[in-house]
Amino acid sequence: MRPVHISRRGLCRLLGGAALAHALGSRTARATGADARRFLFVFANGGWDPTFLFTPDLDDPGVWTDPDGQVEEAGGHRFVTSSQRPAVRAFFEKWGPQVALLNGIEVRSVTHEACRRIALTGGTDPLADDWPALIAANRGDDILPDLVLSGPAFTARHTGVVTRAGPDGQLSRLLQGTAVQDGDLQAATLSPQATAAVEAFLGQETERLQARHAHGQATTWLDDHAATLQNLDRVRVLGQDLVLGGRADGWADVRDRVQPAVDAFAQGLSRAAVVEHLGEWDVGWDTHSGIRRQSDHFQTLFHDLDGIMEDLARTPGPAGGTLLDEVTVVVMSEMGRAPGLNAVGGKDHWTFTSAMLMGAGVRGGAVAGGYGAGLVGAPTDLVTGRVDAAGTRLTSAHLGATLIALAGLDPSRLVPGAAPVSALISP
Amino acid sequence: MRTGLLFLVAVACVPEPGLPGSRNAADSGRPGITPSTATEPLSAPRLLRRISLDLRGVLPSPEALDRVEADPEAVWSYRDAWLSDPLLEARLVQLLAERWHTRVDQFLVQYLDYQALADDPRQLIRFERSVGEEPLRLLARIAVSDRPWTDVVTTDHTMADARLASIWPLEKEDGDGWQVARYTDGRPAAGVLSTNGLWWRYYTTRSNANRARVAALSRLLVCEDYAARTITFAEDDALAAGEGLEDALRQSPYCQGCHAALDPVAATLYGFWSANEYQTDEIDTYHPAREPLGADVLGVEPAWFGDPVAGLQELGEHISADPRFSSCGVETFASLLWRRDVTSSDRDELSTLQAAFEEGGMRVLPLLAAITETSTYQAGRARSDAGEAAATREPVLRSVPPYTLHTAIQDLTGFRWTMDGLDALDDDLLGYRNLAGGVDGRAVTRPQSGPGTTRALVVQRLAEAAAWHVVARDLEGGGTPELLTGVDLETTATDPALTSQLDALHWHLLAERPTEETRQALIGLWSAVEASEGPATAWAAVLTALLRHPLFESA
Repeated sequence: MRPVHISRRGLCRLLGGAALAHALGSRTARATGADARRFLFVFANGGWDPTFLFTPDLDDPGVWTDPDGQVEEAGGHRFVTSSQRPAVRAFFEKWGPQVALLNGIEVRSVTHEACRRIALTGGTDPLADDWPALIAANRGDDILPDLVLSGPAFTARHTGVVTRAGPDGQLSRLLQGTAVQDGDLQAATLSPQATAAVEAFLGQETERLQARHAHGQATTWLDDHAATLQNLDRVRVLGQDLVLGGRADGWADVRDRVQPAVDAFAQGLSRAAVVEHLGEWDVGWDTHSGIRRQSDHFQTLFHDLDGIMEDLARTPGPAGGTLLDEVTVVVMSEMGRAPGLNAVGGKDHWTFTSAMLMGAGVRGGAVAGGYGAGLVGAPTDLVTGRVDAAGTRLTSAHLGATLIALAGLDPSRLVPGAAPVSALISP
Repeated sequence: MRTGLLFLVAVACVPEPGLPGSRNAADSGRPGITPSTATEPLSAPRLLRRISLDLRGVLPSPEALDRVEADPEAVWSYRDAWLSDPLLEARLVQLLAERWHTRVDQFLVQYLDYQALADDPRQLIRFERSVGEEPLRLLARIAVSDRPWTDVVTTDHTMADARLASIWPLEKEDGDGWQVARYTDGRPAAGVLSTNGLWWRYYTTRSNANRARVAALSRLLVCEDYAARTITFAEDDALAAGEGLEDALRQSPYCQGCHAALDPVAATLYGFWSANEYQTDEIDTYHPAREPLGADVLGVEPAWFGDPVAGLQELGEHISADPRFSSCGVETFASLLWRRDVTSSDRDELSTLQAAFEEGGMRVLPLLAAITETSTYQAGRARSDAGEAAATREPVLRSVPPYTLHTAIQDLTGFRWTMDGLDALDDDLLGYRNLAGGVDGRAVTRPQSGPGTTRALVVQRLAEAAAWHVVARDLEGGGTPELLTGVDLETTATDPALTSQLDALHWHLLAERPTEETRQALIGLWSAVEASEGPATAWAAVLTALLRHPLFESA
């Protein structure tokens, strides 16, 4: 699978474009804060096993854990790792002070499709929008608000903010205008001038229809249509400078796949981005057999995360610092894995999982929640993060509320019924 | 009942307008189908366009629009004729794919054992598409053949194309394309339940023991979505105490709430059990000898919600007799044509549809006809006095799905966008299905309901390409003019022929007569582009504008 890649060279040239300069003009003066924060979601698709990392204090012989695993400390965190996955310790040594962990999140399903929806929206409502879309829709007027590079995405009300990249450079081809030329039947496009005339006409027509539809669903549809139309001109500026595909050998690691998001963040183009992580060799995390592959997957994940954090740390952000000051990285998986091994040496699905938050707005070194007997999430004090029998049982909605709060939005409005885990948020 | 008249006219090749009585839901007066208090109905031409796109995937002809403009009742004779149009079958495949999610184009199987695929890997993606379409093709064929919908789970055949028939143990009837086929491996006759395509999509693991498969068929066939039910192990003492999972599933009252129903059904599916999911003769062949395994593995006797069943064929029969099967069929087609989920507030309308469905022998064609007569289907504009919640609930501008956009534009302009032979708007590997708002069945399980950036970019490029294709054919000598028939490259902005052509295009593409304001805007667009880039580009721009128009992108 080859990703799209927006080259640094291209985006530097992009900055010279009058249209983009106009688009970005209002952003350069923004202060770094929750309202300027951007979010990168790294989604470990298939269901990771928290016992390979997140359960240093687990004390239940009934739970199968990695025989090679040992508890280590680095960067202010205690975690499980082994010599088979040295990237884990190396990562915490380097980035631990900027990492917060959330443990014992209950997803309340055991099927992948339902869990992905719950993990990203907080429930099973088919009309709910996921966290990246909610943040993108409620914060800013970015050109590519919710950049879905790969992986799951759930939107119903805010479909207008989602920008899909496609697995084979499709977005690039659309922007460059080569999409139909790459087809079997050669076809031309319109000039930018003619396109501008067409879109001016479409803008008028949309206004005419808006006058006809005073309220109801059509008003939303037409408002989205108008907003999309206005956005297209800015989006197409990108098309001049895109590099198709991944590296020359056709293979790209997750760090490379994330690069378009890093570039988009750097130029203030996107509020949120999503990329899936499929573990070593892209086989996915769903280890119903061969549970020890989880170790390889975590090794690959942390190797990739280190690269991503490096890229964020050395890339200037639109608010003046580096992207690490402005981007919150969310690393999550749709489910955990069961306490015991199954008959073929794997682990089946489990409703409790963990997540990592890193970077902007995150209280580095913080840990909230935990696991009790049977690998069941423990009640947690949302303010201190400590396990507390009188506390709250964490669900995906609490993770969502935390992210919404980190974005400077109102969790009580966007994630009703779940409070943020303030222990993870930098004061 | 009125929809029963469908069959009197469905065989007519030439539509005849004017069935007795009005079928516009605003004044229907039919019991159970009350005019909407939230929306006003579409105009007859726009309703005709909506029905045509839904049932055929193409626009109505200008002549048909003229006819229903003069006689709105003519909509129904066109509708009835279109229900016997050969295009309907392919449309149903696309519609049902939005719900059945089988066209994922990626399956957890090893292909190297298939010589045809090993020899030519380019066939792999086509094979995977055929796999995903197998169950959908069967559903669609049953529907358009006017057979009872119960055949979906009882019929003795499947559908196959030449590719599937050459790889799987199938005997296909003669003919091109998708034809009736029968497996030769001794599997029971249970319609879609006996298709490889369904179970390759909804695979299972050893420990899952077919339960995920049951959840899928329960969602699809009786609209009971077990996967959408949330569970919490924290509340289950047996699991929290660390007892074995299987024991808990069988003994815990909490788990039994679902598993008492799921597991006996799962026990009926062990003929599809594969000892090795990477071994082709394991996964593409039914294993009758393994049928008894279900009871042993799951510790329950095969049953369908309490009724004992002996094998897959009886399972299909029990499902077909389940009252939920009928109501689920109605809900499925209603939601697909209404372009929204059904809710409890639809209860009366759904009950009426279901009663008619059952009275009519559970045939889909009359059901589709009846759905088009509902006020929800005909919603055209929110009433000014409607509450915001009700007005927002009803989609009056419905984003045309990418596959329909493609077929409509292809039919209109002759331009077909393909990538290596694959429809560009019906494929994700090389094409733009997801980006245009379509469903892949795995990462994207619901069609995009509103406008968005990537969809707009896809439509832009498609519209431009199609527009240039028309200009080359109609104005530049590339073929016989079909769309731009009243103008040539010498036509000027002041020529009445130009205005007539613009009016005709607007009417044909959008099913609305242009207002004077719009007419002048189109002339202005044509003139501006003509002045700088010449008449060919001006016509390409006008066509592009209409193909990207909100009223073209929506139905």
